[in-house]
Amino acid sequence: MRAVLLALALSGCVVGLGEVAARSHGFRAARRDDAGLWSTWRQRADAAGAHALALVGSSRFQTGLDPAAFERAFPDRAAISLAINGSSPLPVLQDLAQDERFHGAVLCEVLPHAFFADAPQPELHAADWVHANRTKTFIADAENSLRDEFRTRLAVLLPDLSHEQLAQALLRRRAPTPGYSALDDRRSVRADFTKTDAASIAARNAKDFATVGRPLSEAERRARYAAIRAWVAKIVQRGGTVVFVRMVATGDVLRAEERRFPYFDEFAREVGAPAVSFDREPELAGFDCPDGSHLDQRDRARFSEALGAVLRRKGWL
Amino acid sequence: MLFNSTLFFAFFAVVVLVRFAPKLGWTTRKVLLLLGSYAFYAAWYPPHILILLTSTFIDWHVAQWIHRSKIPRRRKWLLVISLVVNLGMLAVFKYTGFAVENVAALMHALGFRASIPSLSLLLPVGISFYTFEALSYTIEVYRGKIPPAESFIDFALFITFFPRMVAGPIMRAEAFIPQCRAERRVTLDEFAWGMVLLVFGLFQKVVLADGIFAPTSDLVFASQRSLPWTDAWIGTFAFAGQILFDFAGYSTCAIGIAFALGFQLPANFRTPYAAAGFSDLWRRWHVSLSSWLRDYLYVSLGGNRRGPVRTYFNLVATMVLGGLWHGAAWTFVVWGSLHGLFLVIERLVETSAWSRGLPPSQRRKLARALLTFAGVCVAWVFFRAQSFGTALRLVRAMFGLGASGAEHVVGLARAGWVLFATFAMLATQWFMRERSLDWLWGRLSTPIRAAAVALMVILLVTSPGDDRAFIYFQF
Repeated sequence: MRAVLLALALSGCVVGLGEVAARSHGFRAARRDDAGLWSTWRQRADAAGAHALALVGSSRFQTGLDPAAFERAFPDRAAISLAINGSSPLPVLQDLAQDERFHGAVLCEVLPHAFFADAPQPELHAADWVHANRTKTFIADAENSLRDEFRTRLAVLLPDLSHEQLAQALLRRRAPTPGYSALDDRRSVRADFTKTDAASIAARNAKDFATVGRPLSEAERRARYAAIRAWVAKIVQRGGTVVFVRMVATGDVLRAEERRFPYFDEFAREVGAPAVSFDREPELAGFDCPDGSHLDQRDRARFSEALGAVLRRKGWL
Repeated sequence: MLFNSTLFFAFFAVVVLVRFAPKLGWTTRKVLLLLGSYAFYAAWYPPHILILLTSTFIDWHVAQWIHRSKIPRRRKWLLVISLVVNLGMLAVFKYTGFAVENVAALMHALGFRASIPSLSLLLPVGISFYTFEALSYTIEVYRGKIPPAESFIDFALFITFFPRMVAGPIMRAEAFIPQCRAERRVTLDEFAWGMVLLVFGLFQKVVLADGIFAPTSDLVFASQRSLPWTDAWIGTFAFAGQILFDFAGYSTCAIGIAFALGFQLPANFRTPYAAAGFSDLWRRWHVSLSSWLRDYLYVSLGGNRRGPVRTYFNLVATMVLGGLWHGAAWTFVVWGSLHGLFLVIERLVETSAWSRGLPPSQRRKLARALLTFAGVCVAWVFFRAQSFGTALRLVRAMFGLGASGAEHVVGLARAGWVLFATFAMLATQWFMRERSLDWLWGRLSTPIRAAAVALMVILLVTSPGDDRAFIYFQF
């Protein structure tokens, strides 16, 4: 018993000291973006009824769109971020289409490698979260709430301070520093690229986007368009709207995507739903992605307002 | 509710308060423990409690009737009822979808174009474990080896006791029910030892299985491409580590929680990767299942009493069914068959004149342990892979038969980390081969014990908390 009490005291001291050290290095406790948090917002999308504006996409939507800016542009809408980092928007779009309780509007990101390639990982990731939301019990909600109580109070629980990150910092002999992006209260992400080496991330992204996924054949693309068309029809039948949005990409990432997946027009034509591409609208011109793939936090509100203006001008929302 | 969830600790705190609250009688405590166990089970999917209750009520009555009846034929029919109910529930929930799928495939292969809808039922958590416990009870009562339980509460607690109900150890009635008869006083030191085991179990699961091994295993087994042989072996080593620490971690948690509450559960893992041979492996890996399969399947099939050929058949049949127990998929059948085959080969080699002439040596034992581990790893590929295609691609890659010029999916740092962790795991298993955790704990001074537990607690508290369920929950 003595050893256990001593161990508890010792671990309490070490975790406490770790917390103080983390805070002194600028780390702040934060909610984690996981399936549980996503599920809370997914429920809100149903609860908001016809007022819901679901933002369905990947990290590009999560960093590039500001829900508050959309609500200012469309005061009768409740903007709800359902974007999932590192995922395909398709499983979430399908989930909304199959959910009879959802009557709202959807802004769905056209992520080239998720729409025009066979990339199982991003799709599985989103499908896991959708499945977790569908099968969860009240216990899962209670567990998430309890965990949030700790996560929002203790900086040592941040993913930036995971064992792996700490081991890497130890090997580099450099104290860990807070990441350049942070989740806000609306489940969107604020990325400050001045705090990181954006050029090296851009180079890595360009390499990844040059190989990610196996491009679909024409027949496979048509089959996918047919499935998406059917999902859109279901949402529209219930009084909702779906608008597809191709987000900003720049530099080598954009070049890789244009070379491998030049199918946006074909997609828009085949699916027959409203579709906006950042490079076709004057309001959306001139934005830059420091890492080739995501907007900086300084541009997100401006980009969202510009996108809102395009949607209003076209009468799509 | 997972042992590695925050909510479990709130639940466990309530259970501890009830268990040790003053002025409560033992029967009241047992009833509250039983209700707590049902609440624990209901956390997954409340309606599945009905299945648990069905099994409990039927086996309770069947065992009473078997014991009272003096007519052999009637006793046999009563046993058949228990077998049909328990195995029937298992078959319906676990194997119906698999059977329908295979019938549809067979009909398609035979040229029939009938459309058979796929069937997917939500598998009740722990059904494979508690049905085997219930079955062992009625079989033992039928064989006259144990009397039926005197109290329904004791029997229901035997089936439902929350620490082990969802993933074992698979308990025998004769080992558990007597513990329910009278209250066992738990000293503070015993309670503390139970907590140490809980922390050690969680450490194995959260830090070692989920933190160190699972990411690499996931990466390799999710890959749709052909892999270099190094990646295939590293991914398989990672899964070998993941499943050991995941399952042994769960068992250690269960044993610790039960011990803290005044119950003793049998050890389920005895350093299995230090096994020198496959028969030794099955005396060390998931001991409660392998002994169940030995006593109720292998022995019932005739064991080794009907000549060598029948013995080999019985070994393979037992392992194939053991494979199917893990999951309704052909990959599990292959996993079981491989282990059956390994056991047959081992028996053939052991009975050969060449083998009998070899003097025992520690070095040979170590070589045999490493060979056994390699065989276990090859079999794990079929256990872990989602499809035959993935499994065959990986096995081909492991033996250098994959596509040339395949790209690495495991980075150098990650590969080094997994190799180091695998080596440390094997060395520790070898060191602990003939030793137990109690022995090790007894040799440590108080400050070292405190430091070890503190280190585990710190790593647990600061772990990412990815909510990975225990692998064996799906069985």
